[in-house]
Amino acid sequence: MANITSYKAPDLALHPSETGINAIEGAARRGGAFFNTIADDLSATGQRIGSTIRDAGDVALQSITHQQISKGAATGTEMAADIDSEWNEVAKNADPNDPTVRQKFLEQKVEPRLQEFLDGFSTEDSQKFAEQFVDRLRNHLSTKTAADMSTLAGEAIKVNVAKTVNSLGSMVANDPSSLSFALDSVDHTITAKIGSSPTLDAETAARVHGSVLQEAKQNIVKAAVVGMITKNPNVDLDAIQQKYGEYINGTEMRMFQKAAQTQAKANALVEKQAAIAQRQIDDQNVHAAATKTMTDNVTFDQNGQPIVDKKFFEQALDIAKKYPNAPAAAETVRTMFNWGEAQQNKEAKVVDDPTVKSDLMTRMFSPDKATTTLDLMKARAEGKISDHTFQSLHGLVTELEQSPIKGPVWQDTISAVKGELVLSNVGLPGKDIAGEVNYANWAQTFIPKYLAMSRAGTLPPNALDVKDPNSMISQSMAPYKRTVAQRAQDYMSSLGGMGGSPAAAPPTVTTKAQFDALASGTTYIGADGKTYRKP
Amino acid sequence: MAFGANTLTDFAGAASDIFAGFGDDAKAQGAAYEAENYTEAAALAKQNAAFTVESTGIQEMQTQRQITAAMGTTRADVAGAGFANSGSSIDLLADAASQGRLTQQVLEKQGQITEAGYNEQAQADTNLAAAATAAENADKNAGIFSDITGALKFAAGLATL
Repeated sequence: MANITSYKAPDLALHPSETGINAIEGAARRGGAFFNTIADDLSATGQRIGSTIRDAGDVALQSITHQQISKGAATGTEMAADIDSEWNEVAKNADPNDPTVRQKFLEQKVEPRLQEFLDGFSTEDSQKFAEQFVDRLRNHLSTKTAADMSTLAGEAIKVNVAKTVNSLGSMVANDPSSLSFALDSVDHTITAKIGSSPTLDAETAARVHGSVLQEAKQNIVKAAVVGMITKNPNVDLDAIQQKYGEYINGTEMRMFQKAAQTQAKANALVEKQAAIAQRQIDDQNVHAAATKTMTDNVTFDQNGQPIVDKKFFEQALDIAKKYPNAPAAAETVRTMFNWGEAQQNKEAKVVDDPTVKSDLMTRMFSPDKATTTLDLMKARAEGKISDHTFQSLHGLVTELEQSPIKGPVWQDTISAVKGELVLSNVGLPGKDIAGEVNYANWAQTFIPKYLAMSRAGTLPPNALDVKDPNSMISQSMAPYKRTVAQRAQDYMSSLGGMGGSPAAAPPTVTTKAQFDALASGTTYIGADGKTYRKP
Repeated sequence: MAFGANTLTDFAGAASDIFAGFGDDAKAQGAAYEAENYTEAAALAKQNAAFTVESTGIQEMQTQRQITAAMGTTRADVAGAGFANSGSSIDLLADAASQGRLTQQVLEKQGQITEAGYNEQAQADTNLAAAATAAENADKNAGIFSDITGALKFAAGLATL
């Protein structure tokens, strides 16, 4: 009998495995965790490195900061001193009324140095130190430069005002009636100057205004009072004090008055001395003009005879016209005329008077009364020296005027030479005529040579040593030295012979034949009645 | 600016961020690794789902053979007993057929359930892979930004010198 069939699920089937899935999912979960661990390790490493950087950096930072602050403190003070000094130099030469001087200095000189200073600091704390230092220095310089410029402006105003006061003072001194105008002007001027100054601060302006104005008014009033007293040393001062007592007191005015009275006396004395000095100057000018006239208009021929140009007399007269107040003018011109006329009216040959010639020669080196061309002209006009001697001595005078040798050493030397060549103090009357002649001849020979070598700078050190037989002066004296016997004979000859009898009267010479017959050195009387000596 | 506490903080922060960036890169690699594995697990789950379909088909075919065999046996038994294919015989055959269809339906449903389970697992792994990929991208971005912030802090530190 058939039954109802039952069925079972077949055994043959595919059975998928989840092993791989589970393994891979596990790998995913574990693998992710490993990477997270790596990530955590890396982060932790980063944290540790950062912490190390911070710790080590802190130490380095503090060290660098300390080093920079230590160095910067010294550098900063040195820089501040330098800038101060530099500003002082700038301010010294600056225009105190130029407001850009200070600004330019701060911008162009100070700021670059401050920036350079700041650049030397690299840490925050050291830079903070530097910035604070620079801020303080900047404030100091700003204040100092402004104050200095203001002070300089104030000083400049004082100087400027001083000029104004001087001008006004001069004005009121000359014209005391302008005193009120001067006081108003100085008030207006000073106030305007102070008000218009671009660099003057209020404090300085007030100080300058107060002190300068009062002082200026005092000076102007004093100048006016001095002017009044100068015009009238005995002026009544009471009225002045009543009006200007604010600026000047009675003691000062009386002091001014006394000074003015003293000054008036002094002025009179000075004027007198000035007149004397002017007369002395005029005399010197007369002398110079006479020498020039002589040099320009007188020449000498081959025989030593002077040739006088006609302008000589005109120019001599001009000297008197030009210097009418010179005390020596009249005598000088008269002497020049006499000499000129003597040259034009020669009737006999003049023989030198040894005494006069010696005196002229000796005085050439005198510091007080030196021989002048005028002296020579006078001697020549009086027939005391010949034309030849005049020419020689005139040449010497001219040379000595160009190169004076009138010192004490030279005086002593000349005295020594004269003592060697001229016999004197022998207890006998008369003079050593031959000695005087020798002395004069020596001088005419030696002095030009000495002056020429002196100008050329070739003088030997012992040139004037009379005790050195090899010296220049001793060598030059040698031809003129005489033995004792010669001296005695010459001396006796001048007295008229060994017997000491009076000398015969000199012969009168009126013709050339008579003159030629005379021996050299013979004394004779010329046609004009004057005594001459034949050379 | 100057060398100071800020400089040190900047350099320290730079080092920390740079290494944090390395960590983020490692996390990104881990996430990528997870995504790769979850993707592979999802593929395997899908493969199992396919296996389940195939296995259900086999079992249904086997059940169909059992039904065919059972129906044939029943007809033979009825014929052998001298019954015509009618009346109770018909009821028996119908009942056997009905029993076979039920078995087949159960097999089919079970296969669908198993397949659905594998598919859901595959979907879950796919989702995990996507999440890991998203995490990878986020870690990569975090690494990039850590490198950037590290570089910026380093630059800031340099700038103070």
